[in-house]
Amino acid sequence: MPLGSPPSPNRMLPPNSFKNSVVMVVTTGHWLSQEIAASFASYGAAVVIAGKDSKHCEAAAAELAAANTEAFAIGFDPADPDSVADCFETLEQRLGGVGVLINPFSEGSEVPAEQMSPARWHEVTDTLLDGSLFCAQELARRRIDDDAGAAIVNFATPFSVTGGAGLTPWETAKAGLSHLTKSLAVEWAPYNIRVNAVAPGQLEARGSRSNAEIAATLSAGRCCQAADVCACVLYACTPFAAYLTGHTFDIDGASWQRQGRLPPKFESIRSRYERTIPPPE
Amino acid sequence: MPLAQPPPMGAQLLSEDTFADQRVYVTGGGTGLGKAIACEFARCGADIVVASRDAEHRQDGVNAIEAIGRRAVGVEVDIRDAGAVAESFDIVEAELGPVDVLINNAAGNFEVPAERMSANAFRTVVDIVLNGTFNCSREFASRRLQAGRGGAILNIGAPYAATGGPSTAHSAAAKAGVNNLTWSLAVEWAPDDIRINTLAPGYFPEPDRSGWVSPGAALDNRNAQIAERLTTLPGGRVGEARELGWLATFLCSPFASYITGHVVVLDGANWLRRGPIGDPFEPIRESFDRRREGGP
Repeated sequence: MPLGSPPSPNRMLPPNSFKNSVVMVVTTGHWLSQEIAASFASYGAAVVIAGKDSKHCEAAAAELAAANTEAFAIGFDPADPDSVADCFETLEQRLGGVGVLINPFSEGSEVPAEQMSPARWHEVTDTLLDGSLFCAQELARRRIDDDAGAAIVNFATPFSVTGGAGLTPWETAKAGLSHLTKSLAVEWAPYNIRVNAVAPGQLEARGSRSNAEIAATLSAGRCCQAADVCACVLYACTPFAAYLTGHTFDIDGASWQRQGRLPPKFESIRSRYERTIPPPE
Repeated sequence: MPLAQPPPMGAQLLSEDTFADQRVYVTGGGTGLGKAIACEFARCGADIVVASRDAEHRQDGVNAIEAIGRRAVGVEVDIRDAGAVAESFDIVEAELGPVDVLINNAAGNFEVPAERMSANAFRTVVDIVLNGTFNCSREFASRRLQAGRGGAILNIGAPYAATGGPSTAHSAAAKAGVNNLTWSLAVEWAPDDIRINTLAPGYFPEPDRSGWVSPGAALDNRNAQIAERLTTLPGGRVGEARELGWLATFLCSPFASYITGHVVVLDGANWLRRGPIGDPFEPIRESFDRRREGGP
């Protein structure tokens, strides 16, 4: 019997818990960000889908709007502070102050560190780490000015204690975000701006990979589902969590702690990479 | 503006049927934060076992739950004694039915400089906090495994488990042990859908006790001492017991199905408060003596 499946997060909180809130979800195009946006929408929030890929944002917002939600799209580059400032200016003129910021998330794909290009490193860390900071800064400046308070959620990793061999840019950026979450929480607690993070474990595959195969490698016996993450993000942003700040929730079914007495045979990252990833044509 | 005040007493994060037809066993459930957590589970539909060594505490806990309209039984138990823990489960399960959720809340602690701490004091605190948590968790899990049913355990920890706790070395070591136990047991029992997490509260002054105000502080001095403590907290306010209740119910609910082996600190970021330049350092022995004599 694996860990039980979560009920729909849309039935967790009192109805309309986020009515009159503007929730900004910064996305890299990952389905998890879209699911989180939909969860907030189900509680009456006005949702903004913001990211580098304007077309994706528009499609994602249209999908939410089709379900009777107030949803907006805006294109911007989270790694460029000027673009971040313009983005907030535009959307706050139109919708009012952002009360909840959900920073970007992306999943990694394995690459041996010695083969990783500087461009790859920056592509990931610029968006996840720098982008999360720049968005949080812009939001905090505005909410400190108008004294309205806010809640920020960053995406971290359950493996910040152990490292994430093979996924260095993602894991390093996310471990950095866990640390950033702590620092910003202390700096901004006096202004009622709460900063927390969620660290999802192995997410269920949406595509060709087999979930059963992945689940067999997990102590939880199943993959992390969108509902697991959404429930936690919703909780972290409600007034019921008014005293919660600086915390990173591991949502990983006790995956990072799994140190068996007889672990599976160790295979180097490079060997596994070369075995499982076909060489370029 | 400091961290916002939470929703009022009685407001519910989760609906009143979240723990319907479930029994929640709370050690130390008759006083302070344990009672507040038990009450929040009752508001979400659970019946409650108030486990305590003190008859008056048990009765207080039972009364509080019955006032909410749920069933409660008190049971006498010394959690340091594994046999007594097993007996207590027999007694309450005969009366209420199988226990679905365990809250390891009972603890013992007091401030004392380490060189003045007796071996017995150290042993007693570790026995209650660490061994007691293990005894209850093991008893609960073996019953759930036997029944082929999942379950949830929540330990009440402390933020200083991560940093060390000068002046409470016994409690800090025991709570660090509880964190580690949380990680081990989570991996062992995840395949059976038994989750275990730890909730570490920061400064939550208890309405019925002097709590963490100062060694030997009189209750009538409590408000003044809380006011002084406010100036030291980044969030500008202390925690309210109901906030712990909400987080406890979330962590034990099906909405947190994938959260296990996790330690959550709820303290308004106070334990993270580390600047490059701290306040002048005062040795524990000196600050302890000064405060014991009524100083600030």
